Amino acid sequence: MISHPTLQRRAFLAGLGLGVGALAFNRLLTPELFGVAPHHAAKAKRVIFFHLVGAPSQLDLFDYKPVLQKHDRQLAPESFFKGKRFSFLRGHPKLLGTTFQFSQHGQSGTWISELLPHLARHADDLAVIRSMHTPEFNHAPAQMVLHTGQNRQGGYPSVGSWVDYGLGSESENLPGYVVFLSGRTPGAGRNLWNNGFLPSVHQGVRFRSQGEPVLFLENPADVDGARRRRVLDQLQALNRERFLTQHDPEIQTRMRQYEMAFRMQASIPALMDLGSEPPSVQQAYGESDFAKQCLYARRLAEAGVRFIELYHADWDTHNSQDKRLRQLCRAIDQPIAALLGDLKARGMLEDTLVVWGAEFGRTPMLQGDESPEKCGRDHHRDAYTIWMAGGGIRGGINYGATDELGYHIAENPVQARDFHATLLHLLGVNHEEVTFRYQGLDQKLTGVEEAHILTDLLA
Amino acid sequence: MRWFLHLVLLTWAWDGLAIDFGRDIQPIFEAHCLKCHDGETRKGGVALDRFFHAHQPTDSGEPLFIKGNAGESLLVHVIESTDPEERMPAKGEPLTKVEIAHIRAWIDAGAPWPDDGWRPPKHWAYAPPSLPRIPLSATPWPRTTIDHFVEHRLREHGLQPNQEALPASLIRRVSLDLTGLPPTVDQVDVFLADPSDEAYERFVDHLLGSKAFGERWARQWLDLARYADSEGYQRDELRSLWGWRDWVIDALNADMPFDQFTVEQLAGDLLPEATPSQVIATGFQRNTPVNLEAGTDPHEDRYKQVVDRVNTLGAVWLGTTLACAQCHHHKYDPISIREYYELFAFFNQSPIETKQQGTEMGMSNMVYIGPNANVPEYPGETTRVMKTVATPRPTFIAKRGDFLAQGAAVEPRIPEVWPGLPQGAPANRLGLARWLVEKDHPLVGRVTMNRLWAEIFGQGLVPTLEEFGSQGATPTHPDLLDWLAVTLVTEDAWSLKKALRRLVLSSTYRQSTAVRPGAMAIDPTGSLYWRHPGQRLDAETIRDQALFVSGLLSHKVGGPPVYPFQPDGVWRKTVGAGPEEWIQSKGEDQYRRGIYTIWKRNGHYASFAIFDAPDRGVCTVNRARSNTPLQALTLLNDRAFVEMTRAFAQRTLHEFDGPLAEQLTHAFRTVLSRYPTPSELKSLQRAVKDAPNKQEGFEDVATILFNLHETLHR
Repeated sequence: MISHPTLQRRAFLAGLGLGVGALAFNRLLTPELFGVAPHHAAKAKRVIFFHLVGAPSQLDLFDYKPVLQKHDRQLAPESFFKGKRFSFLRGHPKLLGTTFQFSQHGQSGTWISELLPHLARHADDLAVIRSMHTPEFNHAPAQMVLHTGQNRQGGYPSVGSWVDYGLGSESENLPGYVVFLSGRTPGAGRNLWNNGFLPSVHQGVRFRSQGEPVLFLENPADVDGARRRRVLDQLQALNRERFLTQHDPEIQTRMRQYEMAFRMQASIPALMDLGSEPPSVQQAYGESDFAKQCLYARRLAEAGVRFIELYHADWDTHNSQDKRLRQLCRAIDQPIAALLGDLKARGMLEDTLVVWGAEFGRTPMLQGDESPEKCGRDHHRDAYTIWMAGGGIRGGINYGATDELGYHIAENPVQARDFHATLLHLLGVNHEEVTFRYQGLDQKLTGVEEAHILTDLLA
Repeated sequence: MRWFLHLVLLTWAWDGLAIDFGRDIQPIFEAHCLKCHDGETRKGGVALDRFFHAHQPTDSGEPLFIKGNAGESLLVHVIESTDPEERMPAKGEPLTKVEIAHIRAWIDAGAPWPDDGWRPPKHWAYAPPSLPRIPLSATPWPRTTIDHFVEHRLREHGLQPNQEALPASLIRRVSLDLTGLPPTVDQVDVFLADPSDEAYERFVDHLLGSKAFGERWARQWLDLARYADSEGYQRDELRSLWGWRDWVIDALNADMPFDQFTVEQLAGDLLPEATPSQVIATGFQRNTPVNLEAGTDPHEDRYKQVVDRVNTLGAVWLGTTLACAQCHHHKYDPISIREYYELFAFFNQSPIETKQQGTEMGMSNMVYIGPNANVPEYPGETTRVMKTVATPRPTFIAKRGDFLAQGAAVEPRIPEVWPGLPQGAPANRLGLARWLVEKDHPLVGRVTMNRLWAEIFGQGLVPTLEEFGSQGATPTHPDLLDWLAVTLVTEDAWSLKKALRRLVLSSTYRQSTAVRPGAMAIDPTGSLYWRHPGQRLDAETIRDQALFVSGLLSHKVGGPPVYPFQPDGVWRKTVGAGPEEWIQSKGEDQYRRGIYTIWKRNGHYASFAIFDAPDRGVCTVNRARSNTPLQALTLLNDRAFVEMTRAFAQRTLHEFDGPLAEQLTHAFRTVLSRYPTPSELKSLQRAVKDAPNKQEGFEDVATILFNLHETLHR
């Protein structure tokens, strides 16, 4: 456990011990600015986190409900809407069965719909949790719950920031926490990868998959690496002198960020150059922007980035669900499956935790126009599906279940804090012990209420 | 005697079973429920310890019991449930049949429960502030009343204030704070020759009188008002509202009192014989994002716009997050969904905006967005203003926040927890605006001063600037906050310049930024103000400062937004109006202050976004201040900054003749105001010597100076 004053003091002492020059500066990268060393042997060394922004329909992808199908377009039981809150549903809604074929896959017999044929081949690697739930029914607050455990917009650190704070980056040349966006920015915006009250060095750094991977990465035409290095050394000497009289830890953070920027300039162009990937690998992922992001994710994981997050937008299928789901699934299925296969082939799936999830799920009730082309589903917070794979996860298991209409959780409910506790556990960290003193409390990702490690999921 | 009667009335017969609350019900609650459901624990928003608590809606918004209808009551539902996830008590045995029958009978009979008279104490922020006693200090440190309050709290924690900042650093700080620009070396020299308190006050007054003041302080107001040059949403077409932005700059420069500033922006169009300027002021409310995407229901979009106006009112003036009450009773604060829509009703007379054909949709009361739709004319263009429909539109509660789920009709009214409209005030936007600026309004003075304080001191006296309700943080210095609020409203007659002047004249403000490890250990967040936080400059100021010291800055005030350099791929093409490509402005328009840079919600100016400027899709009360490697890359490599750096190098080389040490000292002072230390100067000299030629050496010095931590902070 490390509290804020201790952190400050350590940062301060580390600063005083500084020698001159960039090499000595790198000593600042010793774990002292960070929360903890691992508490126990880690199964996962890094995380790749897919957030399907807007909430995919679990009932059309993973949670197979033949009874719901049977009652398609019949009036929903009163208990489904009476006293409940929805974003759009009103009156007496009807049930909506899926129009997609489901079948069982792998040794485990995991049910997956026809929309995800590539992923289905990895069924035995997945731990599918069909009993996630969240207190929020609007996108931005629910996104915040999934990422920070709190529904507040801002102020609280993201799970990626906590992991970076707890463990630091394995790479000296890349930030510990990298974010990609595909499509629109999620509703909760940058709060989702913000450091909140943790030191700002732990916030997610956004990479782009078009143009310069990171804005302003390239030096001006007439500044070569040697000149940049020379100027940075002089800049850091002045900053260091200032730190010795001011002792403000933000000065150290800024110095670290300039060094990180310099090293990113050296490491990123090579990392983002996919030319070195064999054509077979590139083809496996596909050509889309999102496919490239998945391939970058693997390369960043290899390079030691601790937490890589990929947001994929537009899953909020209130209407025209079938058509949109087909398009959306086509966009993500092959690349994500290729990533799983690629990680496996390289022996990296063992220690890379892959997470696929969203802020909530969608209702078993139909929303909007009843026609098959136009209908959709509303937000559903009471039960939805996420999956995890690799990194200490027992593959091929199905955890939790919903009732036969897919509305309520029938067994093993899981909340964001349970998921967070499990994720940290896999990374070798006890969620009760990564804390940060803020507003008079030893804050932790899992908050004040009891969180449970999902031991059934562990390999 | 009355007490006794109560108890008598509480006893009745039902199927031969006499139920007495005290005898039959309360013991059940005590034995099985209160562990998780008393006033402290309150799981699920349910508390059964007191009359008042039991009558509050639960977290789901449902009432706990419906009097006279046990079968429909949540309480009965959960005690009878067989679902272990749902059944209450959650732990231990279920209630017995007899206990359940008692509770059923009690609810069916109207759930009589003697009112114990207990009510929660009034939340501090909902009682009007009054002038507190000033805890006078005997030390020579305090210069102003503020300092007495601050020192008092410091002493309670065994802390001393920091030493004073260097005079040169102090006037850089105050200049950046009040005008967003650093002082010139000449101004610094004048102050160094006479660094007296009087000279400092004169300098502060000079800054408050400069045109740059309005440009700097408009930034904060524009964040609150969610000002942007585009509509937002998917289409994000460009819009023309800069006339209102210029109105804000002018009003701040003229030191328009904040009460007038409020009334004109909320209801300038409703003032008797409103002037064009007063009508332009209502553009504040036209900053709402507008969804022009095909298929958007214009009625729904109008509803969303009104919601946005209500929520902005809550954040800007009331320090209250009203958004929750839009869909359900406010979970923690005493604002009901009905009261939300009563506030909504004040704003509900705005016309529908659409580009779709009004007649086709069979609607009246519609205005079209287009060059002729919006009066009055502003030089060369039109600007958007508030309007009222001819036929008053009734307001209904939108159940669960769904604008089609029409509930009861409501009239404009102020929520019960706050004082009502002033005598004779109309129940419209004008009345609402006048209510806000009543002298004893509990929130507006506090919320306003807290925001100014946070801008100057890095954090609020109430740390949650946006939330003064029971979910907000408690004030670190409640008496100081009240003193500031009352002084703003009375002595300073709502003058923001006077209020800011008070803040920057204080000894609290003049402290150095140095961190003392001992003090840091006691107060890591600095909320006791034992030092000046030296917070990072905001995105626009970082740009403006670099433009200013490089000599490139255009001092032109106002006018349409400009397009300074930015890299390809950031400006998002949309189907809407406006240039498809980013067409860089020509001449001095490339070098205008940041406040004039075009603000496109979906194509945010890259370097501003990197330095935490919000996209202004919604009201932003508090900007983040991050510290990332992308910021380093921006200052080092963004062509806009490279150009400023090079211009500064040229200026240093050519404008200031003399020995190298003097040139470098001058350069250093141009950026940081203070003199370099001997070793700092030596470092700069080395930078020049290490470069292949003097030209490059000066470019390198310029790069160093523009990237110093101190340069980016105040």
